[in-house]
Amino acid sequence: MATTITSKETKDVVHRMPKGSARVPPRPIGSIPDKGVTASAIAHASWTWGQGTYFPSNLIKTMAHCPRLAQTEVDYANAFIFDESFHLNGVQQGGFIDRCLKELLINAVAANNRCRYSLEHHSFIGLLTFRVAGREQEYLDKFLHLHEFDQFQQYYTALELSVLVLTKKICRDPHLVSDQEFQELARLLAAENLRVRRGDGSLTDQDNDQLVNSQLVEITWLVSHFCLLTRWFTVLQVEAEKKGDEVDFLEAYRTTVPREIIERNNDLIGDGY
Amino acid sequence: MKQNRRLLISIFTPGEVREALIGGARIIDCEDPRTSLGNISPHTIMELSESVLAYKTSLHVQISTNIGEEQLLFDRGASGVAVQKFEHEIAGKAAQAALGVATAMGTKVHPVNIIKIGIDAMGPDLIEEVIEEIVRTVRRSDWTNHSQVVPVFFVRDLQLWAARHTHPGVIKELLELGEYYPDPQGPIDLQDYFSAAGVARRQLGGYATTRVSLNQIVSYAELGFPGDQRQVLKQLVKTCAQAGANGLMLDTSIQSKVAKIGLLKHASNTQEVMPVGPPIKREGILTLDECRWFCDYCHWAGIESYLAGSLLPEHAASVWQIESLDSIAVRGGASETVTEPGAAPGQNEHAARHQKRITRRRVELFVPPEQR
Repeated sequence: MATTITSKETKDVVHRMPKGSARVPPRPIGSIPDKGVTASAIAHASWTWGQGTYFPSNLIKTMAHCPRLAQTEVDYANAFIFDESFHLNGVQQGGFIDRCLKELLINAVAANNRCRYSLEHHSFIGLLTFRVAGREQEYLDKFLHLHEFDQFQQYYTALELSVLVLTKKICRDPHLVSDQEFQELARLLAAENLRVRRGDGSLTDQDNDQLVNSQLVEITWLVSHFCLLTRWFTVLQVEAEKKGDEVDFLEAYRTTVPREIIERNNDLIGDGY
Repeated sequence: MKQNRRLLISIFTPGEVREALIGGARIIDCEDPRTSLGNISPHTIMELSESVLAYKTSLHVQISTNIGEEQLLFDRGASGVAVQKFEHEIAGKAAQAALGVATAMGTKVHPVNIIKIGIDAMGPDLIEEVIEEIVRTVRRSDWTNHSQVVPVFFVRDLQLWAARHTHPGVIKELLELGEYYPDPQGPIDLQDYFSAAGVARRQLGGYATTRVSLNQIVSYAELGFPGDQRQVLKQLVKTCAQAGANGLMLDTSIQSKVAKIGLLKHASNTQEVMPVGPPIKREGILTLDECRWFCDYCHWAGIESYLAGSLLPEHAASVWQIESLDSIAVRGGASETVTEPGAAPGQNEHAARHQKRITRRRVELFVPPEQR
């Protein structure tokens, strides 16, 4: 049974802070004299990663030490993280799996790799994503047990379980992924596509197989990208945006994310990054 | 000698109705070619009946359809025999279906339409009960009382089937036709035959396993028929006559058709190319003399004789020599791959039975000689 989520329950939770500080400080938005090229990239990231709200993050500001990386990262990352299904010239370009499943996977990578920045930010983003999708009641059970999902299989669909197994193995060692597991995941994705398009009748097996291939590429890229990102956050000790910064993410985190999730995150991360 | 023999062509689309009528068919049989007696929805039957009206070239065209190859409701037993949940369940449901298809066929095409009743998977007592119930039901309705009732029985050769049911081409086509059931211990893995999407589509029922077993052909004895094939057919003809049916059709099951096991043993039967695996030689179950005996026996008992079961033009030339034969039913032999005008020839030349279309050119090859 899902626990009802209220902000009242989260207000008294103690958010455990890390020991240490950022090894490379974020760059202020106007500090790069390249005639606004990097500043516009930071603004682009702030609006799109903020999902429509202005959220200048330490992620993009730290990345801005390599300006070209910051400039190219935003569209690149949006293509497989935040963009929903979209088409160009009659061909689907991205958004092959839904945002809720993506948030589940991102949080699974963050939990597996014990990455503070990703875990805290995507606990928050995941909640908002499930809320927008009208699935908030599923959020707590699914997200609370991501680090030990195999003991709480009742909260996950067969497809989610299959993807979580894949994610765990990619985080640990991608050589562990077997052909059989991959075949099973492909079959479950195909079944889900049929379920979602039930009654449509227009999804041929050929189209579905193509869609499944796109989904497999998107899933594995998403997981692998977050493996990179979580390691980068950890090694640079990138800090969450707090009081005194342009935005106070930690206040939103403490007052929005359910206490059970915050406590679980505390336990997983300790005082590290 | 005057004869009124009729070529029955099974069709699925209005376009096929046109081809069948122009080719010389006298009975337009509405069926879904994906099974032997493919069930078809009432509104499709209505649509096809209207097409017959639009294209028919004489008043002597009848329309027919069927209510499925076996009258199972939800389950077969492990032996492949129909299971009733309560007494009279199967007969009652079959009669409801018969009334439905008779109404859908209507009487505008011809006052007399034909209801075909698959009687596979049932023993003699249940067959008699089903036929009696259907005859009694359709005769009581002013709308359907001219309908003819024609049971369809599948003759079988278990030795041939046993030798062919492991052929990869046979397996592939039967899987495509849905002739299987989920079976965790089954010998076939869907993943060996289909892509992820193909497997998923076949698991829409929510089955967790990808392993399946093919639906099997069961013996006459397992169905409760004593004696050899001739004794089985004698008993069936008598049952049909006593129960008030108008005829009896001999046919072969979809498993037999896919495994290239047809009704007639014939010198013209040759090797046939399969979409997967090595070629298979076409084989038959009954000799021409055995077919003649069956037709004679039907007339002796007072009912009409129908023959079906992967008949080819060469077979038709032989079976029409049987004077007591009233009708032959054809689908596969009267159909062919129709390529898009202007497209390169040879595309889909190994199309499965249900992917081919009826053409007038092929239908003409089956018309009784006296009508040519």
